[in-house]
Amino acid sequence: MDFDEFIRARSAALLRYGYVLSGNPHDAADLTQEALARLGLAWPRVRRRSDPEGYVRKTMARLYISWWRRRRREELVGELPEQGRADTAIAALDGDTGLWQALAGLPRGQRTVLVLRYYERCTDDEIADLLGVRRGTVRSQAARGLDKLRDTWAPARAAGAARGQA
Amino acid sequence: MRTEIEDRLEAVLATAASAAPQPGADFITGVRGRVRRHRRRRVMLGICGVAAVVLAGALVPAAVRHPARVDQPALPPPPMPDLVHLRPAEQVWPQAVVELPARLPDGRGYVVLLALGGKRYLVRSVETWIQGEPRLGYNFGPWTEPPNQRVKLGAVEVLNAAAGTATLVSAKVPEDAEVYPSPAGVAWTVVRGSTVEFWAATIGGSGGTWLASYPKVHPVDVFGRVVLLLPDRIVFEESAIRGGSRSYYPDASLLSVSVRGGPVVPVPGSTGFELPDRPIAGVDGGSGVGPPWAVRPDMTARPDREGFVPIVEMWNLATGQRIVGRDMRGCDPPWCLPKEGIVLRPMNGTGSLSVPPGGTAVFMAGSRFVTGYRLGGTSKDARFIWDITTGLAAALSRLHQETDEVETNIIQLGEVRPGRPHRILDLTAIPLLIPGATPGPSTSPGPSQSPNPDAGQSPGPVDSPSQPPGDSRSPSDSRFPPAPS
Repeated sequence: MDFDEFIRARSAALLRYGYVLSGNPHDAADLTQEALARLGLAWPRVRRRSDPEGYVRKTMARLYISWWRRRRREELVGELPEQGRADTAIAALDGDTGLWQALAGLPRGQRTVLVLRYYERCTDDEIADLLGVRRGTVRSQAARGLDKLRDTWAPARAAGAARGQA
Repeated sequence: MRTEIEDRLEAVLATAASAAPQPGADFITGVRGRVRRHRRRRVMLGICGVAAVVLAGALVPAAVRHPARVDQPALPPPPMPDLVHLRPAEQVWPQAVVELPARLPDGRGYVVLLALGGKRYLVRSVETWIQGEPRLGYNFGPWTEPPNQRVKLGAVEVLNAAAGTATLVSAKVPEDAEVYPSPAGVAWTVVRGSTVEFWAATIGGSGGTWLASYPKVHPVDVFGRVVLLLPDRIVFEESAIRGGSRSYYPDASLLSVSVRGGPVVPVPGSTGFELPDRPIAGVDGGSGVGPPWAVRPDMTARPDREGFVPIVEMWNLATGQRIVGRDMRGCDPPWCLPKEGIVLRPMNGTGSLSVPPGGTAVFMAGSRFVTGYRLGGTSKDARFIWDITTGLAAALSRLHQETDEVETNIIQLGEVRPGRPHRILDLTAIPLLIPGATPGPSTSPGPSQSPNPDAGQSPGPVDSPSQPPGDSRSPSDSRFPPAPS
C-alpha cells in the first residue's frame, strides 16, 4: 500500500477520531491532515514498521495536546461543536445531559485520555505509552476527567429529569 | 466496575464519531500540500555561525536590501569525522559548556532561548512551574517532559551570566504566543479573537510594540505564521496570514514593518518567495533553509515523488545576497544536505562526502554545525554534533530540548528542573581554532567516510579549517534563530 492508498482507505476513520478528539470539524480536518502529512514524511520508515495507523493516531493525540496547549485561542469551552447535520445526532443522544458539551470543557490532556480510553478503547498502559506519560498519570487524568464530567452531568441530568416530571 | 457515566461517555463518543464529517474531495490535496510544505523546510537543529548574516544586518539596519546576485565560492568538502568513536561534547569543547544559575536574580526560573555571545543569553522566565521538565517545543512554546504538566512561560529577558544580571526585553509576550527569538530580540504572533497580532521587542527597546493585525484564517495554517526579526524590522509571509491568498499585495509575497511600528509595506522583489519555517520533528530526509534566508520554489515544476518542489532562488534578507540555482533544497549556504543520509556538499557541487546514516537522516543549519544520529553509541548518546569549520565532532547525551522543533544555538545538556542550574553547550563559545589541539579519534576521517575523491583535497580539520574564503565568523557570532522545531 502506498501513501495515497493509505489516505484514501483510512482518512474517514481518522477524521472521525480527529473529530472526537478536537470536538469540531475544522480542527478535526486540520489535525488529521497534519498528522497524515507527518506520516507522509516518515512513510518509508513507518511502513517498514507496518504500523502507519498507529503512528498517525499517536501523532494526532500528541498534536492535539501540544497544539491546543499552545493555541488556547481555539477554545472549545462551553460551546457545542459548530452546528450542522452532525450535531443533530449528538444532541439527540446528549439530550439534556450535556455530556458532549461537558467533554469540551475538559483540559486537553484529560479529554485525550478519555477519548483514548472510551473511544479508542486503549488500556491505560497503551495510553501511557502513546502519550509518553506514566500509567499513574493516565489514571489520575482519567479520574479527574470523569469527576469533572460527573459534576457537570449529574446536575444536568437531574434538571432534565425534573423537567420531564413537570 | 464500570460506572454509568463511563457507559454514557462511550456512547456519546461513538455517536459523535458517526456524525463526524467525511473527507472532502480536497482532503488528499491538502495533505499533499502540507507534505510539500514541510519538506521545503529544514529538518534539523539550526545552529549558529555566519557572522555576515547578523553583522551585515546589524550594520545596515535599513530596509530589506535589494538582491545582489553572487556566485558561491568553490569550497573543498570538509573531512567527515569518525562518527562512531566520539567523545562527549563536554570533553571536546569544555570551554563552551556553561553552567547558568538555576534562577534569575529575582528568583524566577527560566528557560534559555538563544545565546547572544559574551555569556549573554536570551531567556524566558517560567512563571508557573508545578511539575515536569520545561522544554522548548514548537516555536519556543512551552512544553514539558513528561507532557501534560503545567509550565507557564513569561517575560523575555537577557541574562548576563558574567555580571549576574537580567535585563527585561519584554513582559508582554503572552503565554500562548508563537515566539521567534533572534539576536536582535524577539518577535511573536498571538491570536486574539478573530485576528492574528504581530509584535516585536528588541533588546534595549521599549518593551514590545504591536506591529500589525490580520484576520485569522480558518482552519488555522499552523505552519504558516512565520516571522523573521531583523534588527530593525520584521518580515512575514503574506500567504501565511491569508491562507494562501495574496490578495493584499499581488506583487509581493513578503511584507515588512518597522519594529518601532508604522505601516506594513510589501518587500520589493519578493514575489514568489517564502520564509523558511522551523524544522519539523520526525521528518526523514527533509530539507529546507533557515532564516534569514527566504526561498523561491519553482511553482511551475511538478513535485517529485516525495513531494519536493525545487527551490530555484534563495535570498538572504539580512545581507541581500541572492543565489540562483536549479534545486537548492536542503542548502544553507555555502553547504547543502541534499539527500537522506549524512551527506554534505558545497553549493557549487564540487564533490560530496557521505557516511551511512545511523538513523534518521539529519542536518544542520548555519553552515557551521551539523547534528544528527550516528552509528554506534548507546541510546543515551546516539546523537552527534559536528563543527564543519574545525572538523571536530562530539557525542551528545540525551537532549533536553525539542531540537527538531526549535532552532537555537544552545544545546541543553542537562535536565531543566526548579532549583537546578542550567547546563548548556553554548555553540557561540566554540572557537573556530583550538590552539594546540590535535585531532583525536573523533576527528579522524576514516577511509570509509571519505568515498569521494574530492575529500582528499580537504585540508586538515584543525590546522586548516574548511572555512569559506572571506568568512569572518567569530566565536561570538550567532545566526538568526538560526530553527526545528
